[in-house]
Amino acid sequence: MSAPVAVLAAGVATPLGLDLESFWSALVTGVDGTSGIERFAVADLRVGRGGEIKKITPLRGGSAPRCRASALLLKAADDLLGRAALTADPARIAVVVGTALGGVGELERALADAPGPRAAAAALYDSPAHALARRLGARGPVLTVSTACASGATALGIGADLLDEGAADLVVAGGYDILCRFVMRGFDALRSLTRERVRPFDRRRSGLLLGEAAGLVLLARERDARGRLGRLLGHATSSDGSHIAAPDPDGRGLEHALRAAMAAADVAPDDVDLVSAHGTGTILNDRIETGVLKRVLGPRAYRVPVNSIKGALGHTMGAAATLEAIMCLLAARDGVVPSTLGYEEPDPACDLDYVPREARHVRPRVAVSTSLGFGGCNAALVLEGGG
Amino acid sequence: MEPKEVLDELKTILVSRLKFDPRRAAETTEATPLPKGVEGSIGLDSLDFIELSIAIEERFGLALDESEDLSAHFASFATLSRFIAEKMPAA
Amino acid sequence: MTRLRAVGLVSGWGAGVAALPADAPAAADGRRVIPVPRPALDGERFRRATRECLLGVAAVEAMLAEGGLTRDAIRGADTALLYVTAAAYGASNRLFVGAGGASTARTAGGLAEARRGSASATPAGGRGETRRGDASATPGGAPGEESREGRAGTLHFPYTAPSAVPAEVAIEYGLTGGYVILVGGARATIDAIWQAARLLAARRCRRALVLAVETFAECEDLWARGRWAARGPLVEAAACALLEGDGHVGYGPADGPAPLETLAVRRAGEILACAPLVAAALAREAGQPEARLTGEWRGRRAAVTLALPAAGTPALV
Repeated sequence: MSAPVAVLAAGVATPLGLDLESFWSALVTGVDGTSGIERFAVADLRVGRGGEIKKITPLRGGSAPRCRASALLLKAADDLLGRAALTADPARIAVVVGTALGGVGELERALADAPGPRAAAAALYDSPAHALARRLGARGPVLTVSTACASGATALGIGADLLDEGAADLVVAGGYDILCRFVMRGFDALRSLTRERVRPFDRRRSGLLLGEAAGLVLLARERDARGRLGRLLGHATSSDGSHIAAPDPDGRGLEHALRAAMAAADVAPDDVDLVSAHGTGTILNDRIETGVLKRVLGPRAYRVPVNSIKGALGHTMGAAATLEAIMCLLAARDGVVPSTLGYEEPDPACDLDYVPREARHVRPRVAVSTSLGFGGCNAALVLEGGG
Repeated sequence: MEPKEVLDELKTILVSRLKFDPRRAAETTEATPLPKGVEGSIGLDSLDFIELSIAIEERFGLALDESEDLSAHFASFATLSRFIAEKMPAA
Repeated sequence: MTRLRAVGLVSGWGAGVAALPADAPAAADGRRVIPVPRPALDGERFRRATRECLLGVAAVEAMLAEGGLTRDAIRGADTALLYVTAAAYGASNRLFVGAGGASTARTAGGLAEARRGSASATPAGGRGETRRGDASATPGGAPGEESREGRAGTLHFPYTAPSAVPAEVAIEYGLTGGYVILVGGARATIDAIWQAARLLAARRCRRALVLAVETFAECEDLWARGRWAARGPLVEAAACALLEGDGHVGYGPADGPAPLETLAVRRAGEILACAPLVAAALAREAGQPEARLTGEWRGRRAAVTLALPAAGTPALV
């Protein structure tokens, strides 16, 4: 749908570290970022574990936003700006941010004990994106995407589109979500959470854990880029039209999105070196996704590493797909693919190479990333590493 | 509790928790199948079954073992009422 | 050009642009929110769906009727669905928060309560009791899901996502093409129209539905805290436009409102994301050959231009 765009740099705030290199080395080392949740009450829930960020250090300049979602987003932006400068006219800098839950933590607060217009405004789903734009001094388009757990991918695609359209010269794009009682109660009520640990694609898998994070990338048109982490070659979205909470049983929507993204990127199955799967660790998702990968990639599906980083982070919802895209580019940079933490025993229905036990020393050039979300949201990205 | 009383409670749950119209709930009988896709069924899907399980646990004071495959018990109102009546602690 | 093939609207004023008053603030007569009743869509298919989901379906139905189209005209993977809202997730989120017990945002208090084993750390109510809170604002007296006993839980949580509204629409009409969901007011709708045009230009779809739903009644007190209390009434609405063509829309920033933007607000009130679609409908009703649509949200305004074939022109695709 648009020409490839350059990914100049990335910034993150995650349960594995509040900066890119800490996050990356923890991923590669196989650190488990999930733990017992301490920040809010979980004693009445069946599962009280997740990828919790224990301490968010203050931002540069010392401020600490009260809204946790904004705090994470701005923390990731600090990390990003430490690696790349925003050298463009402010009116030409755009922000595209994806989130599944928006500012729902602030809604809880606005209803409970914070009257006043600011609390009410902070509860809007797009408030953190505007807080980020203010912090960056960005006066171009500001968009909030909410395609549930595919948001972090959809946002990157729209960011690329803004560049292709000429509506911006630099785009800060990514995703975020926080852990809060709202989402823990919700997934608890769906019985989606595992009482054990997250085991993507494993025979014994029994559900997901949630996590909180923010991930951002800096996008620019290729011809404007000096130095890059890599490129976003193609992207696509699709709808399942199947069920309000469960994915299409045959993964037809995800298949459609993956094929469309690869077509847009002009990438054939044999060009693919790495798959970053959605891999939540639920019985349904992992089976369906495996089926889609085999149908779209054919024999190539068996010859490439297919990993999921949700075992290490939990499912960070709006941030997930952005963090996974960043992982793909770092894998290309350093020649190492993180393992799928929690994966130990193969499932006959999931028979691909899910990078068990330890990181793989290969250098993938082209990666595809797949994401799914509530409401039948599907998204796929095609990325290429290398400067 | 007798299966008949359990059945009445289940019909209440159909309305209060699964959001069925009261007339539709009243029309169901013991023989009405529950899962979607079965002819004559009330058409419950996976989301409904989770909600139903939680409602049953709360209303009847039971603990359902998630690792067990309970789908046979959830086939119809008859099988479900019997299952619940048997599991309930003696009055 | 990108063509507006059909557009449908339901609002607190009634069905279509014909129901819009000449002057919404005057017609509101002091009311802060003009609600729209829960659509009476039959069948168990919608038993779990929230009011805003049903409004989304009602908007699509209104669009099909306006364009003289059947459902078959939009089914399939060739139709992209783009959904926009600034407010319509508020009701479901509020209900879910309310059912979860008080003071959950007070982390220290919550933890202390949890350690004491206090009941306030557990979901409110015993058997099936829902915390009503301000849910008495249910509009029009129509029974919303909150008036039926039932603790917000398993069936409710998926509906707290903004994606629930387009999901119910996609399921209802069998839409399996491109899928974009943006949160924001009128500016976000301009962005959505631009995204639809790009999908058309890239031939990723043959037609695109741009859908907007806004509800305010359940969160009237929260909206009252904001700036809109000083301006026209908040009017609940749902609008859907069907777009076709080769995808050019001239997307770009706009310094001020186009005449149609001002007209839509004067006629309909504050309908946030629905406004550009109402503006397009007004232009179509007036027989204009094209519509320059602008939309603003949080200080940023953009514009697109749509071609408006006369009503009754057959679709090219």
